[in-house]
Amino acid sequence: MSGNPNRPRESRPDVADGAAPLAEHAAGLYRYVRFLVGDSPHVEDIVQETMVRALDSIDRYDPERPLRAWLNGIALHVAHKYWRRIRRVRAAEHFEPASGTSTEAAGRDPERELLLRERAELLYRALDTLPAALRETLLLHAGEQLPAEEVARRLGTTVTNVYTRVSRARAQVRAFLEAERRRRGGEESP
Amino acid sequence: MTAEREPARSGPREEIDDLFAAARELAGRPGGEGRVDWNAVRVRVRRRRAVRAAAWAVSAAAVAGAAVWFVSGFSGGPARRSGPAAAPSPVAVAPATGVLEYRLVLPSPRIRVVADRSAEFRVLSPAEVELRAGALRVAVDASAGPVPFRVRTPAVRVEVAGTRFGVRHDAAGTAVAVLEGRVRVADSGGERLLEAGTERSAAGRAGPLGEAWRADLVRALGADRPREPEECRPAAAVPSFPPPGPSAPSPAGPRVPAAPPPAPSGISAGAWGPRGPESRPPPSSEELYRQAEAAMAAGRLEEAVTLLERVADLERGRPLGGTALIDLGARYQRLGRVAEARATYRRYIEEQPAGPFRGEARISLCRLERRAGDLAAARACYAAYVEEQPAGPYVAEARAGAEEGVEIAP
Repeated sequence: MSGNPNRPRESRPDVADGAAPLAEHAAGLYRYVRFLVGDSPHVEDIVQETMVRALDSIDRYDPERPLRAWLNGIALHVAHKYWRRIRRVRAAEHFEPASGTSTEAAGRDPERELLLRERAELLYRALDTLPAALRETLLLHAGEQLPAEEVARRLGTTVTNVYTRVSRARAQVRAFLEAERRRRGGEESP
Repeated sequence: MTAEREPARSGPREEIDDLFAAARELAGRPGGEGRVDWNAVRVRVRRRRAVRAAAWAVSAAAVAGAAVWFVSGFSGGPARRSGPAAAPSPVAVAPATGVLEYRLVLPSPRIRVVADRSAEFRVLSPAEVELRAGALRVAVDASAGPVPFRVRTPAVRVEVAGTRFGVRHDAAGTAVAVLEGRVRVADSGGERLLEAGTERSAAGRAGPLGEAWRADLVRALGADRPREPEECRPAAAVPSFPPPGPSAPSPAGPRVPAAPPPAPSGISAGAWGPRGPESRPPPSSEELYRQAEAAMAAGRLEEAVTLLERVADLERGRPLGGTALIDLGARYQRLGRVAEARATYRRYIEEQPAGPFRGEARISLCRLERRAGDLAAARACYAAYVEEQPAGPYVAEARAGAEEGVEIAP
């Protein structure tokens, strides 16, 4: 995980300003944002910005709804803004093992780990080719496996539009993957 | 879209689903999470709230002032139409940019109207101002999305969503100048888009924005550019105005030229107005496509078409260009522009030999040919679909279409 090493780490959330319940979801939010954008240097910024917006509008939070889902919704909006910037700095090191959690230490099969990372990297490269609207719809529907109705509600659009976007996004990703296969085939041939 | 309602997960599991599974597994592992800097969060929250409170106070004062003025200041109605404002109105005004001849009015927090002190106008709603005499300069902050706003005069209607422009109305008619973005000007002669760096004279002629008016707009609205917009209005491939000529008042009143030259198919750098401190880089194709999506979602089809045409030209032969063409074809259909829809689908087929939407483009084209009564073309089109997409989702329809109207010998 990359981040700003100069950022102060010791500040604590305060129950009085409503930050404490948000802090309980910080780790989950990190994982969600990593799923949205890959292991980008921007993950930390997106989480931070999400918390700013969440704390700023905590009065509008409906306690009947899960706090986690509410935070994820905010994170998606923030990620939407960051996507274009992330594309420019996209590094190939998606999902580098977190510090201190090497595959050996975690007891994982190194070959499978390598395969997982290659697949994830390929996925985010494919997602990078999509317009933001297609990308977020595909992430929610195919990635998070949310029902189309829920995706439509979150994105403020219609179910039909969700299906349309997902269909297009899948078609574009298929085309990307096919092109990638051809390219790799060309590289490997003498 | 006409032909893509398939449920997203109705088909077999695809490679992308396996890729997502890998990403989910990796992202879901604990460890590696950074910590939230809560001090920084609190500081930023306090700052956001302070800014919001200040903006609320300003707009509340403006609305209150506008309400007072609405009741007392403009109550003269038609009797005052041709005369100047009798007295400074009690609208929430403040000297703008230190120039005392202007009044500042804020119909909504994202719209700044700088009026002549003698201008006769009223705020009809947060999205509409009626100008009866004098000049208004408008700056719309579109950084958080389009802001519908309209200035109406007795002669024209000027609609805008994210720009800086001016409107002047007097006995000769209504003149409009656009410093940044673009506006849609509608009068009895129809609608035209006016781009940044151009003006429309009171006589209805269009041409480059005059230096005097530009200076006036910059002085009133400031030379500073608005924040980088997420949804800025592009100067797309819109009809260009004829070259400026002598600006004689028209006896029929102000009219926009009725038959401008056809829109340019390509994009020229000059389409974005003059380069200099007032201009900014044109938005990327992806930004334009996002704007087009927003326009499509909001039902603003004409605007969507303009944006999609631009994206299709800029991204010719590339995936985004193909997506734009497919969208464009569907929007043309919705607008009843069938010939353009057919041409667009044909263009997709030509420009995107390996495009993912060839089947959709082909089947949409076939249906249009058939509806147009050109059975021969429709049959050929359906046959091409069958040949190209033998396992496509519309192959049954295509087979039937390929045989439709064919006389079978006994």
